[in-house]
Amino acid sequence: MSGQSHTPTRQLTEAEIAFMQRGVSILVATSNPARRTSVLHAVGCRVQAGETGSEVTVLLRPSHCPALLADIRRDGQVAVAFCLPSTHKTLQLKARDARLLPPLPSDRFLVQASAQAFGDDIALINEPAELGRQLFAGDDGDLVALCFTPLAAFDQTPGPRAGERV
Amino acid sequence: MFPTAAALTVDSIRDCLEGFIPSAIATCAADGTPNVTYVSQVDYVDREHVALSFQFFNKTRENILANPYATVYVINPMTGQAYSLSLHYLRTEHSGRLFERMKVKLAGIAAHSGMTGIFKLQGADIYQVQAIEKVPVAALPPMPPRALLTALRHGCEQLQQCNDVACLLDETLALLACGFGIEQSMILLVDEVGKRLYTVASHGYAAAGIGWEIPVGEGLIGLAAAHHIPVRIAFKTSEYAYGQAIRQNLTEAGRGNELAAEIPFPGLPASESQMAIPILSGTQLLGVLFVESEQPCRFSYDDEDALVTLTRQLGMLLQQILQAGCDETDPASIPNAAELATASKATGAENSAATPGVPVVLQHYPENDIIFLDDNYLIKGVAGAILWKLVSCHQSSGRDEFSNRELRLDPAIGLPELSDNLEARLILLARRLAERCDYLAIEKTGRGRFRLRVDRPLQLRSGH
Repeated sequence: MSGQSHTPTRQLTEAEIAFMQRGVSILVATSNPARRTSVLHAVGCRVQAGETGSEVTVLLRPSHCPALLADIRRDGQVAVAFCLPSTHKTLQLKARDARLLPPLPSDRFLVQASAQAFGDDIALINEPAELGRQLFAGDDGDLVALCFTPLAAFDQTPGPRAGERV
Repeated sequence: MFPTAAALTVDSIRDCLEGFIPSAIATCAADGTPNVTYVSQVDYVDREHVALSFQFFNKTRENILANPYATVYVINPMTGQAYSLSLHYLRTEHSGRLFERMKVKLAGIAAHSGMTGIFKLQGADIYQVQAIEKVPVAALPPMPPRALLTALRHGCEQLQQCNDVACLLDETLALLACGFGIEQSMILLVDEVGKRLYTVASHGYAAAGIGWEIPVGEGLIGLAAAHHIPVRIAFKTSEYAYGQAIRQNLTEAGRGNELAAEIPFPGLPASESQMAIPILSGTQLLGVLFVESEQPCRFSYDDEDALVTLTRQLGMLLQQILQAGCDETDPASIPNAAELATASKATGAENSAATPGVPVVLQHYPENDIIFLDDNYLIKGVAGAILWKLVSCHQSSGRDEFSNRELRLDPAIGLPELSDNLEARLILLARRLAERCDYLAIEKTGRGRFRLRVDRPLQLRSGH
């Protein structure tokens, strides 16, 4: 994969890592050789900061979008957006080294905690917490870990500056 | 034989396009790099097309212009069911009905989130929906459907039975409550010069708010009136701010009496869903129907369609009744002014002489026809001018019977010669009096005729 080359990675700040892990809405997008896209809602995130860069893992329900998994296996390119509904703050990461791994045993608890935090956040803006948590629901066996090292980050909070590289 | 399951169309996922849960759009650059972002507005166009708002030139737009395919991920706000829509970009519209509708909706959202002027629609991007895929998420069961078409049919039939303005307005709001389950509603009519809307009927509020006014163009109600387009907000909105703006303006202008003439907005303090629908007769604006609810996402696309249709019927009937009142071509139904004066003089004078109780000061400000009863604001404008004429006549001649026609012909009241909404102003006045006092009332006595009832002595004062 191209991510294995010496392309400089985008080191995440502590604030960014905290933001991504606090139970935000996470969307993952891929593309195929015909330049058609797939998109899926992820159900959790963990970040490991290392010397060569930050390794980001987002958790997916593989049964929800087989085409997206096929894209990842083919070229490892992903775009992942993290959004906190109560503030609309949004961060998008891009990577070329995405790969699929089995989840950790603890990941199912991470999904539960993410669902709870997401529900609590949308309740702040009077949206039904139960509905928010529902977006994270699924079988424990239907879980896969998508790992990547970000190459670039973009601020996508709505407004005229949305899309600026950060 | 049962029909086989058909492919999903935009019609079948319309509820996902409410903007209650932001949708996501994925696009792909010319070099194959994907991009994903959230979008607040994916608008229904028809069963095969959706529209996205183009506000800023960003990566999504750059990608779409290079590679016109996108995927939109939408979620039903009631069940959590997600769908993936494969889109093909067709064109961008910069004018026309759809563009105007999206612009007004965006302005409505901006006005209620304190971001007026920040979001500006540059274009409506039209996409063909090539496929809709149901994501196998664990969704909640759907809500039982409401029989909106039945309510609409019944509503249209009921409105046909109304033969005066008050009945038509009240029946509309009653139908919304019992047929459509909409408990909070109000009807505002536009003034003679098309600049302001004033409340003449309301339902389900702690205070009726009759007489509350807003300028055409301001807020959700004013936007719907200005553009002749229904505006619907599915999420929490802040309270109307123009009360404060008006207060500031009047203070600066030194117009103290107008400051007191501010009737508070009667609406819900914590509204979660609002919809304003223009009441039109052909292309003429008559007013606005406003509905709201404390329930988030209460009004759907289907509710909007049903209420727009009902409001069309209301507009047509309202115009017919107002026009009939304006024509008054049946001489037998119009009392002769001299006869009225003679007939009512005796009873009026009698009543006046015999009116017991503590006198009430009725203060009139001629420059804007504002009326105060003792120190309490009552009404202003055309309705104020009408009341001043009535009480002046009653005081000088003892008359208490009046006709719409004589008001219409009186230059002091300042109604336009042709189409006017005198009857609506009389309803406003009658309801405002009923709300504010029990010693002064207007009672309809027949077609184009009414009586002024005065149960306490009046002291009339005009000027400062």
